[in-house]
Amino acid sequence: MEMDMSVYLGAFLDEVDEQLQILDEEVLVLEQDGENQETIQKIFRAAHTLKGSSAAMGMTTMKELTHKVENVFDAIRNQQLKVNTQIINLIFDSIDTIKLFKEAILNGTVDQVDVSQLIEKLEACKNGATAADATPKTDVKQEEKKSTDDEIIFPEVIFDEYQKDMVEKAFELNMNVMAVYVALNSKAMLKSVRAYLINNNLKEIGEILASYPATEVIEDEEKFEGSLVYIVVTESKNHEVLSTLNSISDIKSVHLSEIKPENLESFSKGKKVGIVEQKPPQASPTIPKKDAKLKVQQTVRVDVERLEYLLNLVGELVISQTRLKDVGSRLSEHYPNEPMIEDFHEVDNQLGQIVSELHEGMMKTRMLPIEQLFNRFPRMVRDLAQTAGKEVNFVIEGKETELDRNLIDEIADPIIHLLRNALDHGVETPAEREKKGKSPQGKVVLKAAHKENHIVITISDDGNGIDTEKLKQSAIKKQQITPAEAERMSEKDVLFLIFKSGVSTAAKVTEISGRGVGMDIVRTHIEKLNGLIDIETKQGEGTTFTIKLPLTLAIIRSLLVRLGDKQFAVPLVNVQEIIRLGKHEIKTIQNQEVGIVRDQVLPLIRLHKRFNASEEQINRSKRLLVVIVGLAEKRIGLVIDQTLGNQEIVIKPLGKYMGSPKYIAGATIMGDGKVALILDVASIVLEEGVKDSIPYNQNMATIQNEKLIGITSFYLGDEEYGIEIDKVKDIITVPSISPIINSPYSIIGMSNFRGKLISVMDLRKRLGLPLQPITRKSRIIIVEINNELLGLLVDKVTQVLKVDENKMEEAPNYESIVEQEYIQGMYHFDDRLMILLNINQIIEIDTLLQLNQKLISEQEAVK
Amino acid sequence: MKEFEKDQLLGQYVVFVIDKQLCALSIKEVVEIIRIQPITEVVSDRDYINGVINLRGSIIPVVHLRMRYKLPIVPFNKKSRIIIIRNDDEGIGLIVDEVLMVTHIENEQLEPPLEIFNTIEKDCFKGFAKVNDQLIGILNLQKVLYPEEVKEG
Repeated sequence: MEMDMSVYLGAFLDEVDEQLQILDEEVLVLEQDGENQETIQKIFRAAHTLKGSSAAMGMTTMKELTHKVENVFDAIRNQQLKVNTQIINLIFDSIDTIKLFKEAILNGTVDQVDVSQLIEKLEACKNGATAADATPKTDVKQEEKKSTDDEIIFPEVIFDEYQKDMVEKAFELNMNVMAVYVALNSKAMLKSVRAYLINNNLKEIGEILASYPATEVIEDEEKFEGSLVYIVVTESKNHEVLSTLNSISDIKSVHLSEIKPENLESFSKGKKVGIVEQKPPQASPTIPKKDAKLKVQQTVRVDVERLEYLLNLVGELVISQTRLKDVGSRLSEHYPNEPMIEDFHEVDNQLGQIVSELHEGMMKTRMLPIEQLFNRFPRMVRDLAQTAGKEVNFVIEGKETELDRNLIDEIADPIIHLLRNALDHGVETPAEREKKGKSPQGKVVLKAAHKENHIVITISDDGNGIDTEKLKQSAIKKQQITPAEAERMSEKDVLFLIFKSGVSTAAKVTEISGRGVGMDIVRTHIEKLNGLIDIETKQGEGTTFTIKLPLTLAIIRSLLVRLGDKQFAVPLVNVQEIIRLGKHEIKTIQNQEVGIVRDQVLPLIRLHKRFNASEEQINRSKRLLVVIVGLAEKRIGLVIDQTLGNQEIVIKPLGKYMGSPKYIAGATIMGDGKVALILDVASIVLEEGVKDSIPYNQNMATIQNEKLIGITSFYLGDEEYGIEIDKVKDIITVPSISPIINSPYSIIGMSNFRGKLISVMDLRKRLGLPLQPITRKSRIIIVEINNELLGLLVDKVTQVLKVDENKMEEAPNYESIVEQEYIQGMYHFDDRLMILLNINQIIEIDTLLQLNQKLISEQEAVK
Repeated sequence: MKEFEKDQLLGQYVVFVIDKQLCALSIKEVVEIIRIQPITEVVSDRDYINGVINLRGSIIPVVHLRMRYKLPIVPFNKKSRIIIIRNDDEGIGLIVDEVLMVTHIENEQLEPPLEIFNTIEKDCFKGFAKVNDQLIGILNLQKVLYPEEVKEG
């Protein structure tokens, strides 16, 4: 009778996966703490399990390899061998080879995996150990063979010190320790496989401490007699243990013998103990208690396509339900006094709840925790750090965050590239770090979290930050930009150069990175997923990459906007912000309309003509409503008439006949039954965004002799004032301000800003204007003078604008109510006047220094 | 016209009007006939596609036959209809001025091609028939839907 091993293949591969995961994790722990007995034991057991299962499956090479690994760890746990880097690397190599095996099994190319070298190394490693003193090893004595069929001879049970220790620990934890005596039918086929199954089943209810005879014997079909003893630590009761073994065929008998503190001695001395006879209960209704350690979940494999179909149906249901709600409210309007309508609403609400739960549930079926992916990284980071000669503390947060299974596969590459970058370019070598006064060990944090309906993944390091100057040079060298362009680019624009192919700040190309293609890949992937990426960096302090992705691809949250008389949906994941731009903030450069938003040039796109929508309203209005949308690192502004709110929508294709009209990603059905088109932000940004590099150049040419400076403008009463933006660190809403006694210079108190105490000055008081209470619009502008911070209380902050420094006018003596010395100059705009303040006159640096020192001492006094 | 081609033309037809001209589509090609629905305009390369409608949860493109044949566009009225046909496994709507009737076209009603249908490309017709003294053009759906290919051929 041939047994079909392929039936077990799935289980075997799962097992290999599980054990590899344990190995990966535990070896990393071992690297940190080479003496950790528990870890050594875990690794030993994992190797042991792998050996057992690979042997049972007939994978001889793999068995041999895992056997050698097991030997090495046997030596380690018997303290014949000390853990060192060489061993760790060797073990990692072995783990990788086992992974190769796994792949090879799937591809049917097991024979091609060569392990001879590795085995030699492992052998050498082990021999280094046995040359040293040999402590007594786990002894397993086979009883003398007697060939009588009725009498079953069980191998003798002898505990070594470690095992005895474990048993005692188990007693302390009130766990049951049992010796499980199993005898197989003498005529049973493939006894080793049965033994493997028994082993597996026992593992589900507890932990196997030891098995007799030794695994090698069990695996060997020739030597294995068919009688086994397992020492199991479990929370389960006797009958539960028995019932788990019930499902395995060809078992002749099962006996249990409980090991108690009283009879432990006899076990460890190797004496035979009386066997408690216990017949396995037939079809026992008791379900094995789920062990805390190994959760066995019932699962069903379902075709993804079928799930997709169901998800689509749920989508339809969502639409119908929205429509029903709409009908309901129309009915209410129509028949305000009809009591039945109440019932209608009640039913509708309930339906709505069920539908949304159903939707959520369906979505969850496609969701997997990102853990799957993240678990691969500690090992990778460790290897990379070692190659690059760096010390890294790698922190993973939000492992449990769930996302669509398709996304998990797609997002792996970008994360890998970003992690590599963080290690290679971000984190410095221990020596460099110490020189900078940082701890020699760098920190890299990988974090995933849900934010509204999106997944936000951040990768941050506390390394060197990105050198924007270097980036510029590299981009100029690669002729991605001209020097003149580089001159004009804002910090953010320069940072985003990193995504251009070939641009790299790395001085040299290393094995890990530096060729400048990685980031290009990152961008491409994220664009494909309709996601956004953002960079924040601070020279010398580190870099953070933020990736924002839609949770799923079929149902999305969207912003509904109106263009003329038409409605469109913009996927919310692409929406950065919604702003209003005044006429003066809109310029035309080379036929391209651009808006100036916080120091950045934003290409403005009007799609009204394209979509045949009336432009009447936006032509009439003074200020333009602009939705800033982005794809990967690119941003553009869409000019719209009105926003209509957020809504969950189901993307529906337009069909083959319709083809793919420009800038349309699909359609969706709204609550009123009408169809709204979904804007394809990706193609709009890609096509319209291309233009931005052209006007950028032209921009440089035409305004070459202009000197643009950025100004934060704010109001005190009706007068508009400005402060140069490079002095402004932040603008915050008014926090609580605690008063300071005897403070000079109109300082009204101190406040907490990012964990630091800062003084807050009432600018009205300082300039001799009448005082005003703080309102909702009041803001504090944090200015930075020679690295010292000061908060300025103002009535409201309006905008950041760019002005040509050459157009600054002298402050006229008569017009202003503010004293001349505080004024740097004035700017005339079409309809108004702005006074640019000279911040250095408003507070002298010495005074500020004194103030801040006082604050520091006060802060310490509080402590 | 050859006999076998004639035979293929026999059967039940939906007869409708486009700018006073009678046209027909085989009942086998027609899925249903609905009133005018709110149409969401879609600008695409096929400028005769007026837009899309929501037909019980499916998005269906609608072809404005007046646009298709560059006839003057008139506002929809009570008689305006959308004929839903099935093409390449998806529904497509055809906007017509009015649906007149469903009729059976017999052998003896078939007529040779005539020149009077000068506003609609002749290529679009498979044949003609006379019913109650009115001449009906039997449309070739493929050529109605894919004019680009008509020009090529």
